Amino acid sequence: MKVYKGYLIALKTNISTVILYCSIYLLVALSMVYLSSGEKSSGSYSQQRLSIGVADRDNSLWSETLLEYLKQYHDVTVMEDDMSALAEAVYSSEIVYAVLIPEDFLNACILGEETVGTLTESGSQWEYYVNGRIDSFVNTARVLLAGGYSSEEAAQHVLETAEVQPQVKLESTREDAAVYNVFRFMPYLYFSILCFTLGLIQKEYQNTDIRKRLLASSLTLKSQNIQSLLAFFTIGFFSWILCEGIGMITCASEFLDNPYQWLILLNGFTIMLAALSAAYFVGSMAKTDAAVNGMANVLSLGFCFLGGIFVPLELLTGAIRKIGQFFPTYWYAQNISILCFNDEMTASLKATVFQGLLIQILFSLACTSVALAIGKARRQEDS
Amino acid sequence: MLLIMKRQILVSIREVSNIFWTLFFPLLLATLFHFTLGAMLDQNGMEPLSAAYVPASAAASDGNTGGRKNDPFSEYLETLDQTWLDIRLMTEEEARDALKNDEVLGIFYGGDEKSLTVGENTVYTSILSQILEIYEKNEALITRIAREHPEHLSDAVAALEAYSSSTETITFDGSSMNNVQNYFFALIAMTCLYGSFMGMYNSVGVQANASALGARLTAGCVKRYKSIAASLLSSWLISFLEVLILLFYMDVVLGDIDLSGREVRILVICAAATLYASSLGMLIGTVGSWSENLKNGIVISVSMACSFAADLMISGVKGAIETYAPVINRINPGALTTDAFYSVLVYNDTEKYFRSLILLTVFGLLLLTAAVLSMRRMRYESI
Repeated sequence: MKVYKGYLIALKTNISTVILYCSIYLLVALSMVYLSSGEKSSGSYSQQRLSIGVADRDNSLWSETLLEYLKQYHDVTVMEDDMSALAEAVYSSEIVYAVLIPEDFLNACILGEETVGTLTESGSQWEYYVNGRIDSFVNTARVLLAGGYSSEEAAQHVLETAEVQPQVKLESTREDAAVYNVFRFMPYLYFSILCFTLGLIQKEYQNTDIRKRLLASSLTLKSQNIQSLLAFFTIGFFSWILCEGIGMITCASEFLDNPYQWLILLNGFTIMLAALSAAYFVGSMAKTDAAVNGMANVLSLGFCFLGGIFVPLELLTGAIRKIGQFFPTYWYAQNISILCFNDEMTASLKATVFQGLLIQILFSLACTSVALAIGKARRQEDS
Repeated sequence: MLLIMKRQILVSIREVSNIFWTLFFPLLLATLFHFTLGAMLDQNGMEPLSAAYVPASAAASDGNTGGRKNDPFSEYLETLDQTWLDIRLMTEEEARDALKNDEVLGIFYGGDEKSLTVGENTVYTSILSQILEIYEKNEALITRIAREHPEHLSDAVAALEAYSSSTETITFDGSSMNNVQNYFFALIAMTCLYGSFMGMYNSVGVQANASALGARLTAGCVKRYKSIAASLLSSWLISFLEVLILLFYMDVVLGDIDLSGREVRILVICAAATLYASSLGMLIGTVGSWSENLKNGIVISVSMACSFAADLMISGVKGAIETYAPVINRINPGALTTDAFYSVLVYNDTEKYFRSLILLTVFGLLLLTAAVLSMRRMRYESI
C-alpha cells in the first residue's frame, strides 16, 4: 500500500489548506445560524416592519402625525434633510425607504394635489408597500377633514385608525432556515478543500520521475490506480465527517429536529464524491501548481455560482438553471432546499431527491472515468 | 526607455499565470456575477401578486362562488391597480389548493367578518394584509363620520371616492438604488487592485538582486531612473488596459453596468486606481530582500483585504468601517474606487467623486515616490 500511504503523507503537507477552509466555513456557518435565528416564524402573523428614514421639512402638526403614524407600522429613523445622506442610507440598505415630508404639508399634499417625495429602489416591493401606507394616511386625513373634524381632531383620529387590525391567518409551514443556510454552502467547502489539496497531490503523482519509479516497482498499474482511488476515498470520507460535523455542530438543535437529517447527510456524501472526482480530474489534467490553483478556482467558483450554491436556485434565470443542471451542485442545492422546506415528503418529492442523488453519483463516475482515460492516454503518449 | 517599456510589457503579457489572475479571472468572475447576481439586481422588484377571493356564498358548503355583484369588498378589490394585483374568484377548496401549490399568495374571505389567509410572512403578503386593513379602516371611518358628523357624510364619501396616490419616488437619472451593483463595482476595484501584481513583478524585474532580467538591465548602460519609470509605466498601462477590457465586457457584452455618458469620469477614476495599485505593488517589490513568492503573498493579502473591506465578498463591511473607522475607507483603494463608481453611476455626488479621485492620486504618487526613493541608489557588490 505504498501509493496509498504516499497520498496520506502528502496530505500532511497540505493540512494548512484544509484548516484554512474549515475555519472560514465555520465562521460563515456561525454567522448564517446567527442571521437565520431572526427568520424563525413565531406562528402568528404580523405585517413586515421595514426600516424607514423620514426627513421632515415641515415640522408641523401633520408632519409629526405622519411620523407617528409610520412609527406604528415601521421602524422609523428621523434623518437630516440631506439628499446625499438619504440616498447613501438607502443604497447601503441602512434604510429601505426614505420619506421627504415637504413644507406646508397640510395645504400642499393633504388639501392640495402635491405629492410626498420618497426615495427607494424604484419598482421595488417596498415602494408599493410603504407608498400604500402613506397614501392611506393622506386619504384618511382628507376624509376626516371633509367629514367636519378640526385639524387636531382629525390628526388624532388618523392615529387611532391603527387600532383597526385585519384578521390574518398564517398557514404554518416548516422552515429550517438555519439548516438550509449552513448546509447549502457545503459544496464550496468540499470542492475547495479536495481540489486544492488532492489536486496538488495527484498532480505530483503525474510527475514523470515518480511515475517511472512506480513503473519500475513490482506494483501493477491496476493496483496503483486502485490504491490511489482508495486514498482519495479515505481522504474524502474523513472530509465528509469533518465538514458535515461542522455543519451539524453549528446548528445542532435545528438539525436534530429535521426529520430528513439522514438524507441531508447522504446528500452531503454524494456531493463529496462529486468534489472528489473533480479533484482527481484536476490533478490528472494539470501540469503545474499554478494550473491546479487556476482549475480548482474555476471549478469551485463556477460550479457554486451556476449550481445555485451562492445564489438561491429560485433567483437564477431560466437559461442559467438549464446550464446549472449539468453540475452536481445544482442537484445538491435542489435536494437541500426540498429537505429543509417541506413538511411532508410526497412520492414526487422523494423521487426528485433520489434522482438528484443519483445524478451526483453519475457525475462522479463520469468525471473519474474521463480522468482515468486522460491519464492512460498521457502515459501512452509519454512512453 | 520606450524599448524597455515594450520589453516589460511583452514579459508581463507572456507570463500566463499573471495574465490569468489579473485579466481572465476578473472576466470569469464578471461572467459568474452576471448570471447569478445579475438576477438579484431585480430581486426586490415588485412582481404581480395573485390572490384568491372566496365570497361568503362560496365559503358555505354549496361551493357556489356566486358573483361579484352587490359585494362591496369584491368591488373594492377590483378598483385596485390590476397591473400588479390579480384577484381570482374561487371556491374555498380551489383557493386552498391554489395556496398549497403556490399559485396564489393568499386567500381573501368575504362576508361580514373578512379575513385573509397567507402561506408565508413576506412583504408581498404584508401588501395583501394592508389591502384588507385599508378597506376595514375606511369602513370604520365612514361609520364614525356617519355617527358623529352625519351632515358631512356625503363630503366624506366623496373624498373617499377620490382616493388617489400621494407619493412620488425620486430617481436619479433612472439609476437603480439596488446595492447588488456594489458587487460589480467591487469587482472592478479588485481588478484595479490586481495592478499591484504587475507593479510588483515589474519592480522585481529591474532589481539585479531579485531577478536575472534585473541583473542584465543593471549591468547595461541604461539610466536607473529610465528603467524604473519604464517599469512603472508598463505595469500601469497593462493594468489600466485590463480594467478597460473588463469595463467594456461588463458594459457592452454583459450589460451589468451602464457607463453611457459617464465614460470619461469612470476612465479617470480607473486610471487613478491603477496608478495607486501599481505604485503599491512597486513599493512592495522594492522593500526588503524577501523572495518573490513572499512578496507575491503580501500583494495577494493586501489586495484581498482591500477588496473584502470594499464589499466584494460580504455586503455591509464597507458601511460598518465607515461607521467605526472611516479613515480606513479613505486610504483603502478598493473603497475609494467603489465610492467613486457609486458617485458617478448611482447618485451624482461630485464631492465624493473628487475626494476619491484626489485621494487615489495623492496616495498613488506618495507610494510611487517611496518606491523610487528605495530603488534610487541601489548598488550591488554581489548578487
